[in-house]
Amino acid sequence: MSLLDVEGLCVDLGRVPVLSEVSFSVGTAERVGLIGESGSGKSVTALAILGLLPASMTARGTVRLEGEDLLAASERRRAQLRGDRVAMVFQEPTSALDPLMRVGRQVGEVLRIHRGASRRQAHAEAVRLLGRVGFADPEAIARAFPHQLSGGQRQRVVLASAVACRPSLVVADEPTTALDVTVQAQVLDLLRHLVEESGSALLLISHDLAVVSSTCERLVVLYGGRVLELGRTAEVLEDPRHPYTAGLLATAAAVSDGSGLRGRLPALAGSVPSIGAFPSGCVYRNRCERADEACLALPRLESGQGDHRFACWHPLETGRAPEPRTGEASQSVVQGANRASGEKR
Amino acid sequence: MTLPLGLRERARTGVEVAPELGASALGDMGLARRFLSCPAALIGGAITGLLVLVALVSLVWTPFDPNAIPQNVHLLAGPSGSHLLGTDALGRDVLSRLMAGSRVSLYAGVVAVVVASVVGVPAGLAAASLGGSASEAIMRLGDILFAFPALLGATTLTAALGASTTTAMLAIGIASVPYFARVARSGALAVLSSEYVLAARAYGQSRPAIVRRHVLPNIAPLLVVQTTLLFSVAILAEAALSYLGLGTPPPSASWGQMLESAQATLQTDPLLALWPALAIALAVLGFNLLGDGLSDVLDPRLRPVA
Repeated sequence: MSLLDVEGLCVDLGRVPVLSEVSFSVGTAERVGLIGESGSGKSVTALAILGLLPASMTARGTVRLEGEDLLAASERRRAQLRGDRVAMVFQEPTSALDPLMRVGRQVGEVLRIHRGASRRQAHAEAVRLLGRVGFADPEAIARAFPHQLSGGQRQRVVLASAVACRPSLVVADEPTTALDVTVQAQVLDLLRHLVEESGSALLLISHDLAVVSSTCERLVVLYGGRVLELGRTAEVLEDPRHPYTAGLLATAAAVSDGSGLRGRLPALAGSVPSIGAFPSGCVYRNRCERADEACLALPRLESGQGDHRFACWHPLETGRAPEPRTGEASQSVVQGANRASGEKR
Repeated sequence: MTLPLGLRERARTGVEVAPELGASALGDMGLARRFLSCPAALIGGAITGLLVLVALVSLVWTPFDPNAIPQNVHLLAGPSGSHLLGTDALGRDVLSRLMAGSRVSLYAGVVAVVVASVVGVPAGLAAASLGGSASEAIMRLGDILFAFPALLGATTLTAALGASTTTAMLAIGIASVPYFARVARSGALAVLSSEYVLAARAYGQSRPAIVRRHVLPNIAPLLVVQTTLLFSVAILAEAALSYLGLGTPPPSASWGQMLESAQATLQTDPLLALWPALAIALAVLGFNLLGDGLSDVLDPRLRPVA
């Protein structure tokens, strides 16, 4: 049994499906990346796991955290688990902090709710946590209001409150997207360091392949509210089987190795349909070069090597990418990712 | 009596003001500076400050007893050295009565504001956080109250409970409940949809705690403005009701009542009506300016970018 088991998770907005049959798992202290373009259902997946979906959306399926079904649990029980066993880091640290509350109090709040800490204890622990996320003068930071901090500092504060109770799972929804490029690497590194230290698993949600591949052990590729491919990071990057994953890798690689600078940047044809406008059958078929009649039927997640799985009627052959450049390119993303993580240590 | 436009408008436009609340204002260091650089807030603050000061002084000292009817004095005397603003038809010192009247006016404002906010704010917050049919029920109830004429309510309540400042202001306070409920609800809806509330829920905060710790402080600026404006409404309403004999009963000095008794001698002593009229106008102007000024000072949209 994994720490987090998402099985057949479906989320509907009214009658429109937003997520369909999403299944993946996160092991104890494992780092899993959830990747996809905007509108693929990444954030909805995160909110569904925490039971924070807006009232207009309904979820079906099961989300088990440490064996307990969160979707079936009462709101009271879910509130007990949120912040304590599963924590969330939001994309925009500026809006995720109450502008009128001192930073130390916001960090300590989690401990007051779940650990029954007194005001004084919570403050002391908040200061300690702020020190852990790298503030040189945590006492002063604890007394500051959010607007007195920079974006990177605010995200550190959010990270501090996320790991305050040593949750078994941290869900980070685009934690570095709103930050300066120079700060992104630091925050990402800190996030990885913190989850390692507190023994938490990490579900990292991002559209940025480099961010996810440098941090996560396994990847889940989401598109149109469906899982198209999942497996170990190296396998997925080196040997993508789904044309969508391969396309994503090609675009990312062209940027990272500079080959795209000498011509047109490769791009995925078309754009992500809006929710509810995805084609029947394979959700990617209207943008896929390989699509034919077979794709009118819904492909199931097929097993490849090991736990590498993909949902495609016409998968790329293993060990061989469709276009030579993509093959090279995906290698260089992996190398680039390794390089990046090496530099950051 | 109709409520001043400012208040009505604000109750209606609360929805548009609120979404900008994200970065709110009370915790800001530049607040005092913005207040000082806003003429409306400054002048309004000065007038209301003076009013409060006069009311406080009148508690311990007035030139003469404002209510006792003195023996052997000049009735309807013009301004003189000992009676700076003259005396009224019963020989009482007008200045003393004006000073004592400020106390009644402020008291009227306080009662109205307390009643309106103690009922209206929780109702609005409940409507915002409960949503659905509970919200509908609360707000429709407010609409019914809205449609009921405030003065008629005051008359009815006075008939039932007897004329007093408190009774009159109870009625004005009740009539103003929907304003506070609407402003609180629209502000709370904006805050509740913010990401920091989602973040608070994500770390396990309960709904009531979110409303208490996050929503209330963030809509405080809106409520402060509303409070100031209701003060001017209450002062005007108290004067109107006292003028009609439905508010503060004699012999306690009240500006409305002074105006009423001055009416009898308006032909011969117009000054006697001028003083309370000026006081009422000034107080209402002061609170309105302060309210408008504060809404500018506390409005994050108008804040210079740091």
